[in-house]
Amino acid sequence: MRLQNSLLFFIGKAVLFLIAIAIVWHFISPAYNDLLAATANLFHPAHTKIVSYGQDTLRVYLSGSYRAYEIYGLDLQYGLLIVLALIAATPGLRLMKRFKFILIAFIIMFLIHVASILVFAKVASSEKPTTISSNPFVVFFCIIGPDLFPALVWMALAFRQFFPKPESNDAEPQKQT
Amino acid sequence: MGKKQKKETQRRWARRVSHDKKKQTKPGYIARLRPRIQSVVAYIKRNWTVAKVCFFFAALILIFLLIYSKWLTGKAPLADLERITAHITASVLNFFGGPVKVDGTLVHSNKFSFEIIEACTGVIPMMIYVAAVLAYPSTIKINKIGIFHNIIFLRPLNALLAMVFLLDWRKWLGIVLGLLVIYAVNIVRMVTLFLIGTHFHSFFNVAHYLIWQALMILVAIALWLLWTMRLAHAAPK
Repeated sequence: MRLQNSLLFFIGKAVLFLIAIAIVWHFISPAYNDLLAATANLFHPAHTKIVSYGQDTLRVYLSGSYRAYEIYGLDLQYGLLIVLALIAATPGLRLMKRFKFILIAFIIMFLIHVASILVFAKVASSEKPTTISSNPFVVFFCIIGPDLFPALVWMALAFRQFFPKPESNDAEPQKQT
Repeated sequence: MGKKQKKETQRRWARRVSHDKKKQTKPGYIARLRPRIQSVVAYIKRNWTVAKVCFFFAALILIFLLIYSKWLTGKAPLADLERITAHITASVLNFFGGPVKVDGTLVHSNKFSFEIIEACTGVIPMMIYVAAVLAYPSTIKINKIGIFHNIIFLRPLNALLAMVFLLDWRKWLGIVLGLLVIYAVNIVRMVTLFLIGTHFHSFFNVAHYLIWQALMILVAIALWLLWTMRLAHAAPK
């Protein structure tokens, strides 16, 4: 694949897809936030309750305390958009495979989002408010993760489109006799 | 040989055969797992270069994670970068005519204001880009044992120094140029977000959280792909 020539085209397409998906997602995100909160509540740590407020906020409430800890919902969700945009723009994928990748990426990112919320809730319920933001797990899942995971998921699914597997040695020309 | 003896030997044979059959039909847990393990090992062997890249990338992310959470969150280097970013953003906005002021990390005008925080400095896309460039295969072999020894003993700075002095020039060039481009794009992001906040405030959340944060990662991925094609010599096999 001539990557040098098509890289600009690929990035341009990804940006257009991203803007289109972001505008649509603006209306979907409250429902997605509710879904995240409902799923996280199934597995939430003891003494916590996770509630979503509109498209923006997910709050972690601790029982016996007035304090609530907030995660900005869109801060997690943009990772999903970038994966979808990247898969939609990846050159050389068949339509069915593209849809399959989109579905897989959606499921993985959803699970990662739920895991991130649960980790945040767990840390919030066990640490002082001042040390939450510097907790390595919170940094990994809620600060680095939203940027890192989409890139990893996309690379895992589509990297062979950019780095095709070399042909095996069996395909080498036969020796002349 | 008497009849009794014959029957006894036949019974013994029958027992042995049934015992062998039991052995054949019900292999142990490890024996059943062995072909699967072998196939996984064979898969990793076939994709050894990719596996190495993934492992090295994960180790680098771990180092950066430790550096970020231990030494950067709310500490001097990142706080300075926040202030510098705020000043550059204000300078660019003033260059284009908007009367904008800076107070520490707060950029404000009569109509709109925002604060530059850690995430607004572009440091996370930078970290991911640097980790991806460092993890990519190179001709110069890095002392990985030394690096991992330092990681295990939670000495991320030592691990980073061990790598820095053994880097290929192509990696240096890729890192320096890449970081400059990501930072420049981040300044464009801040300027456009300020303008959107001033003139199209209802669109600010979409532009800030959904479009620009995702675009920063897209820029990092694009730069890495460009670096692998232009400067790095070999694709992972």
